[in-house]
Amino acid sequence: MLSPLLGVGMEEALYISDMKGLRHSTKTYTRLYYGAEFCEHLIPTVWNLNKIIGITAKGGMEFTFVTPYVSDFGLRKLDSLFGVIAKKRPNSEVVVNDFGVLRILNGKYPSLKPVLGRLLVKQQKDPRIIGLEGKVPEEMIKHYKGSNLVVPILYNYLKDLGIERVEMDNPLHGMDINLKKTGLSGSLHIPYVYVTTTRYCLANSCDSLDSRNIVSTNACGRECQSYTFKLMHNSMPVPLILKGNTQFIKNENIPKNLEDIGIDRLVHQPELKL
Amino acid sequence: MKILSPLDNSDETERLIKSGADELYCGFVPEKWKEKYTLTCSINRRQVPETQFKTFEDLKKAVEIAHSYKIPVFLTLNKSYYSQDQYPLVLKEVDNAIKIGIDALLVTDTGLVLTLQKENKNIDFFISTLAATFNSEAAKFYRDLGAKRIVLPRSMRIQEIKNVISHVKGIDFEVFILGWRCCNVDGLCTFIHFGDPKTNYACRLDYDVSCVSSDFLQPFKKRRVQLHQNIWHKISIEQTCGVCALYDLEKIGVHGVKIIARGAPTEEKIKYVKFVRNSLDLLKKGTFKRGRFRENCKELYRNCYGVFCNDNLCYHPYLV
Repeated sequence: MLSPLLGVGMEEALYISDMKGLRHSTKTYTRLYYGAEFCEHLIPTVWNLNKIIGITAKGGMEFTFVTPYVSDFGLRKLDSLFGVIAKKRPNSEVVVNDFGVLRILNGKYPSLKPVLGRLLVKQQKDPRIIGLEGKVPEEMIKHYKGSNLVVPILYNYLKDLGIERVEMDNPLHGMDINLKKTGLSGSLHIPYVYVTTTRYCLANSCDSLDSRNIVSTNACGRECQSYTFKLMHNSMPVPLILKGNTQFIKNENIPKNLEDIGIDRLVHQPELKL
Repeated sequence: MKILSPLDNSDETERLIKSGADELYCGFVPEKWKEKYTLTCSINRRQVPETQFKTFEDLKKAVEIAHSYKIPVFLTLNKSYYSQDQYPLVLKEVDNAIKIGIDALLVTDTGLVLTLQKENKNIDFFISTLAATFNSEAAKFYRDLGAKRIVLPRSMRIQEIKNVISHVKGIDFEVFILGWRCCNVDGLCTFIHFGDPKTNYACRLDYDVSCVSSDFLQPFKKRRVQLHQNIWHKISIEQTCGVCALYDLEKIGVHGVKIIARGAPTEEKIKYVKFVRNSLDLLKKGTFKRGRFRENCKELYRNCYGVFCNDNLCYHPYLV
């Protein structure tokens, strides 16, 4: 469905991480993003994946499966899920945030369409960059507004790897990117901009009664599903939102030049969930 | 196992080698780059002047000294990504590095990797930890692009490292052993580094943390959660260490261990290199079993830093 607000050709997608997220679904959305982008512990079960695939098929929605960066353990989990998707919705998209995942996808599941995820698309998203404008050389700001995507040798290589679409964030300081010349299509995630992520999970054991504060890759207690934190500092123009192992900022200002950038899809995440 | 030591000037080259360094790595930011992009937007992700060679002549001198001891020197060009406009300056640095005999480049950007291949640059390259290579398929991806070595992310557990090494042949793997545990995955972090790390790095700021969800939480529990988050941010620090894991790392076939201390005074670097060298010598002697070896390393840590090691300073706190 086309958005009346955003002009002809703009696809709108809903991004959810669990079944409950489906309550945000409206007819505006013609595509559903589903999966875990930042943590391998949150990779969906086969049961949940099957259910979501069934719902999207029934509702006539296109399907995009989102995957995180992974260890070999996560790679095996994804491998089996790709088998399910390839069988049930063979033309689905898979967002990859790890070149290992891309390798599996291209090697074993040629019917699935790889999409380059936000973790492999390089953009600087430090909210403090907005305060640097006018104080530092223009070239520096131009670099911070840019991306690796517009380097010809890279985008041509990505296309050789079967990538036709890239997922992008909407940094506070704006973008100076022209995807049109690359032949790649862009999706823009709104309103949450991922800024950084960790494997020393920030939420891990946060409600533990143990008085020690061990930072490690402890067993996951899925604390991220219950807690959201706000981090404030006077040097940050906006609060950082800490959800599980990842920090975000919220940017509700959609760029006016989406078409110039080469964005033809908006990925709405009404609720910040991992 | 090799010890990879940081190097910031020619004067310290010989001393680091004599202290036990097997390999050296360093950075250099050309003047033209500094003028156009400043050191904050560094060519190699280090933003402090002390972390860079001051002149290319001095770097050349350091390479000559190192080579006289048959010790290789690697140059970091590991910015997460380079814009197209930046490529001419980067490639000029590559050519200059080749001219003075730099033995390999530490790189992250896949675009740069492809360019090195396309232009047939006669130099080896290693994949920096910034590439976030967490699994064996990603390692194969970089191996197939021609990388000779991969520096694995520091949050990887021993078992994960083992999985990767055992499944990927034809390439070396290196891990961090000492210094600077960043709380975030370096390669997936989009904050910029500038100014004093203690007061400007986003991972080390003294945030006002509040729990904005979980209304069901009782006030005392909410306070505990907030306290936890505050403490977490304060332990992204320099003195982190994985030396007592050397026993396990050697067993699983890690090629080398890397000390992070670019910009530190020479005496400190020497102290770190000696600490790791002494620990590796202990391991080589084979006198101690795993448990005793680990205890000895903890003692050596105390001698090096003057404090006891603890779980919060450990790369591998889960090891027993």
